[in-house]
Amino acid sequence: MLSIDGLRSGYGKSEALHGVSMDIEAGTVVTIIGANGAGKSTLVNTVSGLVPVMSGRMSFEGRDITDLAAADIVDLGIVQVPEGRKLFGPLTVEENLELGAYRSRSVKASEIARRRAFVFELFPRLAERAGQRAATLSGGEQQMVAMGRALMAQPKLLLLDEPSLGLAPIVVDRVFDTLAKLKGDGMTMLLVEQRADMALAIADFAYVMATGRIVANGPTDAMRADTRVQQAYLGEAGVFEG
Amino acid sequence: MTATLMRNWLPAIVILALGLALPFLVAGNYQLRLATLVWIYAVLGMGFNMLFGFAGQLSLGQQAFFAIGAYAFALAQIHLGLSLPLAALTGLAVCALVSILVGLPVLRMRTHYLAMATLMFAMVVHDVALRWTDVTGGTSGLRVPPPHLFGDRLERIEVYYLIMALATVVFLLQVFVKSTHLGRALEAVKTDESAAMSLGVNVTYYKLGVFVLAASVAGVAGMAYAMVSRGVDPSYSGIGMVINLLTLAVIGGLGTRIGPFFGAALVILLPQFLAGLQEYQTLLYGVALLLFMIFLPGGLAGLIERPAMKAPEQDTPSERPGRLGSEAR
Repeated sequence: MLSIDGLRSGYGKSEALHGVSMDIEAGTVVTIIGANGAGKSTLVNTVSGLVPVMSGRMSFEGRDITDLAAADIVDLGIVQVPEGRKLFGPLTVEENLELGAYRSRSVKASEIARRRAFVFELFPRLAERAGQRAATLSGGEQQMVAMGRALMAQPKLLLLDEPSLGLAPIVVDRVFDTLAKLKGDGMTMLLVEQRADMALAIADFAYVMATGRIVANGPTDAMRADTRVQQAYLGEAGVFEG
Repeated sequence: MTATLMRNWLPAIVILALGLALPFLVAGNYQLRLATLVWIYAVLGMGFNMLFGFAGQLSLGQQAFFAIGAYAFALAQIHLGLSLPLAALTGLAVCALVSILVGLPVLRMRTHYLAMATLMFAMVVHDVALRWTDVTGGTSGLRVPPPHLFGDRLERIEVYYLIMALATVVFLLQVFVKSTHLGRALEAVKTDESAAMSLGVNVTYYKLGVFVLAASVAGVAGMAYAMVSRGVDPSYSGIGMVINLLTLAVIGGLGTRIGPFFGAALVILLPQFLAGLQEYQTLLYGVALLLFMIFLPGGLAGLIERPAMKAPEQDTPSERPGRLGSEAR
């Protein structure tokens, strides 16, 4: 579905990704794990068109998307749940969701209503808080809004950048329950996570990143058995370096 | 529903009714002129309000477009012999064109960098107005012919209503921008550009769009000012103008729809009442501004209208307010 080949990208003149290749099959969940600064977020943002590509190719459903603008990438069905949630704080929950469907303005109102109903069914809590300003929500609720906002665009591929960041353990469990539910519905997802244990439990395939490169990849079962990956869980940095 | 409707429109309707009645309530031409200036400042304020209040783009160069509109309007009448409507269209086109040329490079900057860049632009415009004597008339400026519309010379009261009608149109434009998807997109751009971009909002396009819109509205205000003053001079792009504009915005209430009207009324009328105090006037003006910022950060309009888009619904406290965005990096 998404195919990345020899991707180099970065900020200004400094390169952050040094030739990354990966494939995501439709209907699967792929996770990227790795330490802080490994380039995971840069990869997600490059796929979204937010960070410029220096060289390499990306294609989605057979279409070249390397040079597409962020808006066009959303139109094709690649939607991001950004790191740190990035809600529109002064706006209500409902207005945040509406902005998620921003590119779907030509879609019928009934279809938008259907999507909203889907989001409220997934997160009943948001229905209760629809008129409340996003800034006043708890961290867990904000993560729900961020995910709901992305789902309003009816993505084919959902990019999740650290959805567990800054959340209490019990709330993290709830977020992963939701991801499992979405997976059950057949949603294709690319999940960037520091909580590698949980990410590997839900994903079908995993890539390990370090300093802007993919240093290991494979089906999650095999990855979990890999001693190097086990060491990386425990935070022993350096195993994949060099 | 009706309550919300009333809440949203009632203040505007009251202002409109007051505006219509005003010429019959004021005594003499001087007071009518002040009333006209209030509408002009309200238009100028609404342009800034859309740019900074709605979209969060702080420009300190609105006075440049105020001047450019006025000069273009004057020159089109003097040298090209254009009628008032055609001269106004010319002024509008010049403002839009210049704002596109300026906006494309400067809108790559944000916050105080954008403020500095736009202020520099305005200073350049001010200098050109002062020194390009052949075209701008230098310090003495240009005379603007008395306003004629369809062959008839306009009375003062007609000019008043014409300008009030302009302010009403700009007000409706402002309401349109705020209540449609445009307002949502601008709010998204204002709150978090990268999040907006990741949802497919074309951030560059919206920033340029609102910049051009605000510049054109400032140009309209400048033309109206030139029409009323029967002339244009470099003070139009002076620093006093931008100070007035910022005062107006803060006192009126940024991001609200009717704030610019309150702000304009105060900026025009307050100095009249303070005139007797002479040198203490500036001091009082400054103190008043400080008090506003401390006690009424939402401005006068904040007392009746919430800056965000909908009438307030209850913000029931959540279990624990979470932090917004950017925990990481």
